[in-house]
Amino acid sequence: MLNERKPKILFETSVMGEFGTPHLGFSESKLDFKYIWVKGVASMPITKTLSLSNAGPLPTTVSLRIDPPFSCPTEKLTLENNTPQEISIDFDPGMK
Amino acid sequence: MSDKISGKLTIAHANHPHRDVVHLQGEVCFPNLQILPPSIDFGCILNDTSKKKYIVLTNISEMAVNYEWSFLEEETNQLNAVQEEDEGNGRRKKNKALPINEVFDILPVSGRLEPGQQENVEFTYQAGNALLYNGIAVCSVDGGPDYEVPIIGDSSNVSFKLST
Repeated sequence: MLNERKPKILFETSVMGEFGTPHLGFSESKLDFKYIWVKGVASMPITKTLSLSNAGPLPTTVSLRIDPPFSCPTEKLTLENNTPQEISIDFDPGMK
Repeated sequence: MSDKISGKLTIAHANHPHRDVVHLQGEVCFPNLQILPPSIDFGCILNDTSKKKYIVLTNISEMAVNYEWSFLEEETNQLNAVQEEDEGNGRRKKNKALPINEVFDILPVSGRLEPGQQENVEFTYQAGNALLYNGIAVCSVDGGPDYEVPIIGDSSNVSFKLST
Protein backbone atom coordinates (compact mmCIF):
# COMPACT_ATOMS: atom_id res chain seq x y z
CA MET A 1 0.00 0.00 0.00
CA LEU A 2 1.25 3.35 -0.92
CA ASN A 3 1.21 5.94 1.63
CA GLU A 4 -1.39 8.33 0.12
CA ARG A 5 -1.30 11.90 1.26
CA LYS A 6 -4.46 13.83 1.26
CA PRO A 7 -4.13 17.38 -0.13
CA LYS A 8 -4.61 19.97 2.46
CA ILE A 9 -6.40 23.19 1.58
CA LEU A 10 -4.48 26.02 2.95
CA PHE A 11 -6.26 28.97 1.41
CA GLU A 12 -9.58 29.47 -0.46
CA THR A 13 -10.53 32.63 -2.35
CA SER A 14 -13.92 33.58 -3.71
CA VAL A 15 -13.76 35.51 -6.99
CA MET A 16 -16.73 37.63 -8.12
CA GLY A 17 -17.21 39.55 -11.34
CA GLU A 18 -19.85 42.00 -12.50
CA PHE A 19 -20.63 42.44 -16.19
CA GLY A 20 -21.56 46.03 -16.92
CA THR A 21 -23.74 46.55 -19.99
CA PRO A 22 -23.40 49.98 -21.59
CA HIS A 23 -26.51 51.97 -20.97
CA LEU A 24 -27.18 55.29 -22.65
CA GLY A 25 -29.91 57.81 -22.01
CA PHE A 26 -31.28 60.13 -24.70
CA SER A 27 -33.05 63.45 -24.40
CA GLU A 28 -35.45 62.30 -27.18
CA SER A 29 -36.28 58.79 -28.31
CA LYS A 30 -37.33 60.13 -31.74
CA LEU A 31 -36.46 63.31 -33.62
CA ASP A 32 -38.96 64.92 -36.01
CA PHE A 33 -37.97 67.45 -38.65
CA LYS A 34 -40.35 69.43 -40.81
CA TYR A 35 -39.64 71.62 -43.83
CA ILE A 36 -42.38 73.86 -45.22
CA TRP A 37 -41.81 75.40 -48.65
CA VAL A 38 -41.87 79.19 -48.80
CA LYS A 39 -41.89 80.95 -52.17
CA GLY A 40 -38.53 82.56 -53.01
CA VAL A 41 -36.73 81.06 -50.01
CA ALA A 42 -34.06 78.41 -50.66
CA SER A 43 -34.30 75.25 -48.57
CA MET A 44 -31.70 75.00 -45.78
CA PRO A 45 -30.76 72.06 -43.52
CA ILE A 46 -32.72 71.88 -40.28
CA THR A 47 -30.64 71.15 -37.17
CA LYS A 48 -31.79 69.57 -33.92
CA THR A 49 -29.80 68.77 -30.79
CA LEU A 50 -29.75 65.39 -29.09
CA SER A 51 -28.32 64.93 -25.61
CA LEU A 52 -26.60 61.63 -24.77
CA SER A 53 -25.82 60.55 -21.22
CA ASN A 54 -23.96 57.50 -19.98
CA ALA A 55 -26.11 55.80 -17.35
CA GLY A 56 -23.71 52.87 -17.02
CA PRO A 57 -20.96 52.53 -14.39
CA LEU A 58 -18.02 52.80 -16.82
CA PRO A 59 -16.98 55.30 -19.47
CA THR A 60 -17.93 54.19 -22.98
CA THR A 61 -16.78 55.12 -26.45
CA VAL A 62 -19.44 55.12 -29.13
CA SER A 63 -19.43 55.51 -32.88
CA LEU A 64 -22.41 57.05 -34.68
CA ARG A 65 -23.89 56.00 -38.01
CA ILE A 66 -26.80 57.86 -39.61
CA ASP A 67 -29.00 57.38 -42.67
CA PRO A 68 -29.18 60.14 -45.32
CA PRO A 69 -30.77 62.67 -45.82
CA PHE A 70 -29.98 63.02 -42.13
CA SER A 71 -26.40 63.73 -41.09
CA CYS A 72 -24.34 64.12 -37.94
CA PRO A 73 -20.93 65.86 -37.80
CA THR A 74 -19.90 63.74 -34.79
CA GLU A 75 -18.59 60.30 -35.71
CA LYS A 76 -17.08 59.16 -32.40
CA LEU A 77 -17.69 60.14 -28.81
CA THR A 78 -16.47 59.14 -25.35
CA LEU A 79 -19.06 59.47 -22.64
CA GLU A 80 -18.05 59.63 -19.00
CA ASN A 81 -20.45 58.44 -16.38
CA ASN A 82 -23.17 61.01 -15.64
CA THR A 83 -21.71 63.63 -17.97
CA PRO A 84 -24.21 64.31 -20.78
CA GLN A 85 -22.96 65.47 -24.15
CA GLU A 86 -24.88 67.08 -26.98
CA ILE A 87 -24.67 66.18 -30.64
CA SER A 88 -26.37 67.93 -33.56
CA ILE A 89 -28.44 66.10 -36.15
CA ASP A 90 -29.13 67.74 -39.53
CA PHE A 91 -31.93 67.10 -42.00
CA ASP A 92 -31.42 68.42 -45.51
CA PRO A 93 -34.79 68.72 -47.31
CA GLY A 94 -32.96 69.43 -50.56
CA MET A 95 -31.51 65.90 -50.57
CA LYS A 96 -34.95 64.31 -50.53
CA MET B 1 -44.00 66.42 -53.90
CA SER B 2 -44.63 66.38 -50.17
CA ASP B 3 -43.21 63.33 -48.46
CA LYS B 4 -42.11 61.79 -45.19
CA ILE B 5 -38.67 60.21 -44.85
CA SER B 6 -37.69 57.89 -42.04
CA GLY B 7 -34.15 57.10 -40.93
CA LYS B 8 -32.21 56.17 -37.85
CA LEU B 9 -29.16 57.12 -35.86
CA THR B 10 -27.33 53.96 -34.78
CA ILE B 11 -24.96 54.19 -31.83
CA ALA B 12 -22.43 51.35 -31.54
CA HIS B 13 -20.31 50.83 -28.42
CA ALA B 14 -16.60 50.07 -28.70
CA ASN B 15 -15.78 46.50 -27.62
CA HIS B 16 -19.40 45.65 -26.97
CA PRO B 17 -22.12 44.35 -29.29
CA HIS B 18 -24.85 46.52 -27.77
CA ARG B 19 -26.46 49.02 -30.16
CA ASP B 20 -28.72 51.97 -29.43
CA VAL B 21 -31.06 53.44 -32.04
CA VAL B 22 -32.73 56.85 -32.23
CA HIS B 23 -35.48 57.07 -34.84
CA LEU B 24 -35.56 60.07 -37.17
CA GLN B 25 -38.35 61.41 -39.33
CA GLY B 26 -38.16 64.23 -41.85
CA GLU B 27 -41.20 65.76 -43.50
CA VAL B 28 -41.13 68.03 -46.54
CA CYS B 29 -44.23 70.06 -47.37
CA PHE B 30 -44.68 71.53 -50.84
CA PRO B 31 -47.80 72.94 -52.52
CA ASN B 32 -49.69 69.86 -53.71
CA LEU B 33 -53.06 69.22 -55.29
CA GLN B 34 -55.28 66.21 -55.59
CA ILE B 35 -57.00 65.95 -58.98
CA LEU B 36 -60.04 63.69 -59.35
CA PRO B 37 -60.75 62.05 -61.66
CA PRO B 38 -57.17 61.88 -62.98
CA SER B 39 -58.22 61.87 -66.67
CA ILE B 40 -61.10 63.04 -68.84
CA ASP B 41 -62.78 61.08 -71.61
CA PHE B 42 -65.57 62.90 -73.45
CA GLY B 43 -66.42 59.85 -75.51
CA CYS B 44 -67.84 60.39 -78.99
CA ILE B 45 -70.33 63.22 -79.52
CA LEU B 46 -72.10 64.67 -82.53
CA ASN B 47 -70.17 67.01 -84.78
CA ASP B 48 -70.78 70.71 -84.07
CA THR B 49 -71.93 70.09 -80.51
CA SER B 50 -70.13 70.51 -77.23
CA LYS B 51 -69.89 68.59 -73.96
CA LYS B 52 -68.75 69.60 -70.48
CA LYS B 53 -67.01 67.51 -67.85
CA TYR B 54 -65.74 68.48 -64.43
CA ILE B 55 -62.80 67.58 -62.24
CA VAL B 56 -62.31 68.49 -58.59
CA LEU B 57 -59.09 70.15 -57.43
CA THR B 58 -58.33 69.81 -53.72
CA ASN B 59 -55.49 71.57 -51.95
CA ILE B 60 -54.00 68.79 -49.82
CA SER B 61 -51.04 70.86 -48.62
CA GLU B 62 -50.46 73.05 -45.59
CA MET B 63 -50.06 76.25 -47.58
CA ALA B 64 -52.08 78.11 -50.21
CA VAL B 65 -51.61 76.81 -53.77
CA ASN B 66 -51.49 78.90 -56.93
CA TYR B 67 -52.12 76.92 -60.09
CA GLU B 68 -52.44 77.45 -63.83
CA TRP B 69 -53.69 75.19 -66.60
CA SER B 70 -52.12 74.78 -70.01
CA PHE B 71 -51.94 72.16 -72.74
CA LEU B 72 -48.91 70.07 -73.51
CA GLU B 73 -48.25 71.13 -77.10
CA GLU B 74 -46.33 68.01 -78.07
CA GLU B 75 -49.29 65.83 -77.27
CA THR B 76 -51.81 67.68 -79.40
CA ASN B 77 -51.64 65.08 -82.07
CA GLN B 78 -54.48 63.95 -84.21
CA LEU B 79 -54.87 60.21 -84.00
CA ASN B 80 -57.30 59.32 -86.73
CA ALA B 81 -58.14 61.82 -89.35
CA VAL B 82 -61.43 60.65 -90.78
CA GLN B 83 -61.91 61.09 -94.44
CA GLU B 84 -65.22 62.38 -95.75
CA GLU B 85 -66.84 61.95 -99.11
CA ASP B 86 -67.00 65.14 -101.11
CA GLU B 87 -70.35 64.85 -102.86
CA GLY B 88 -69.60 67.44 -105.52
CA ASN B 89 -66.78 65.74 -107.37
CA GLY B 90 -66.44 62.36 -105.72
CA ARG B 91 -63.00 63.16 -104.22
CA ARG B 92 -62.13 62.27 -100.64
CA LYS B 93 -60.83 65.09 -98.51
CA LYS B 94 -59.02 64.95 -95.20
CA ASN B 95 -60.33 66.97 -92.24
CA LYS B 96 -57.85 69.38 -90.73
CA ALA B 97 -57.04 69.00 -87.02
CA LEU B 98 -57.52 72.14 -84.96
CA PRO B 99 -55.06 73.26 -82.27
CA ILE B 100 -55.88 71.49 -79.02
CA ASN B 101 -56.63 74.74 -77.18
CA GLU B 102 -59.38 75.51 -79.70
CA VAL B 103 -60.99 72.12 -79.18
CA PHE B 104 -60.83 71.94 -75.39
CA ASP B 105 -61.53 74.77 -72.98
CA ILE B 106 -60.71 74.95 -69.27
CA LEU B 107 -62.43 77.18 -66.74
CA PRO B 108 -61.00 78.62 -64.54
CA VAL B 109 -57.64 78.56 -66.25
CA SER B 110 -55.84 79.63 -63.06
CA GLY B 111 -56.59 80.20 -59.42
CA ARG B 112 -55.59 80.03 -55.78
CA LEU B 113 -56.75 77.46 -53.24
CA GLU B 114 -56.37 77.75 -49.48
CA PRO B 115 -55.44 74.59 -47.52
CA GLY B 116 -58.26 72.06 -47.77
CA GLN B 117 -60.22 74.15 -50.28
CA GLN B 118 -61.80 72.48 -53.31
CA GLU B 119 -62.69 73.80 -56.73
CA ASN B 120 -64.65 72.37 -59.65
CA VAL B 121 -62.84 72.87 -62.94
CA GLU B 122 -64.95 72.80 -66.09
CA PHE B 123 -63.58 71.14 -69.22
CA THR B 124 -65.47 71.78 -72.47
CA TYR B 125 -65.03 69.82 -75.67
CA GLN B 126 -66.07 71.65 -78.86
CA ALA B 127 -66.63 68.96 -81.45
CA GLY B 128 -66.54 69.99 -85.05
CA ASN B 129 -64.85 67.97 -87.69
CA ALA B 130 -65.16 64.25 -87.00
CA LEU B 131 -61.73 63.88 -85.46
CA LEU B 132 -60.38 62.18 -82.39
CA TYR B 133 -58.40 64.58 -80.20
CA ASN B 134 -56.03 63.23 -77.64
CA GLY B 135 -54.05 65.66 -75.51
CA ILE B 136 -52.70 66.39 -72.08
CA ALA B 137 -53.85 69.25 -69.89
CA VAL B 138 -51.15 70.33 -67.44
CA CYS B 139 -51.92 71.88 -64.08
CA SER B 140 -48.76 73.73 -63.02
CA VAL B 141 -48.49 74.44 -59.31
CA ASP B 142 -46.29 77.31 -58.13
CA GLY B 143 -43.54 75.64 -56.07
CA GLY B 144 -44.98 72.20 -56.70
CA PRO B 145 -45.22 69.61 -59.44
CA ASP B 146 -46.91 69.72 -62.84
CA TYR B 147 -49.94 67.45 -62.87
CA GLU B 148 -50.77 65.90 -66.24
CA VAL B 149 -54.39 65.13 -67.02
CA PRO B 150 -54.95 63.03 -70.18
CA ILE B 151 -57.91 64.34 -72.12
CA ILE B 152 -59.65 62.69 -75.06
CA GLY B 153 -62.64 63.61 -77.22
CA ASP B 154 -64.10 62.19 -80.38
CA SER B 155 -66.88 63.37 -82.71
CA SER B 156 -68.83 62.00 -85.62
CA ASN B 157 -72.01 62.33 -87.64
CA VAL B 158 -74.95 60.00 -87.27
CA SER B 159 -75.36 58.04 -90.48
CA PHE B 160 -77.66 55.22 -91.42
CA LYS B 161 -78.82 53.20 -94.40
CA LEU B 162 -82.19 51.64 -95.07
CA SER B 163 -82.23 48.30 -96.78
CA THR B 164 -85.11 47.73 -99.24
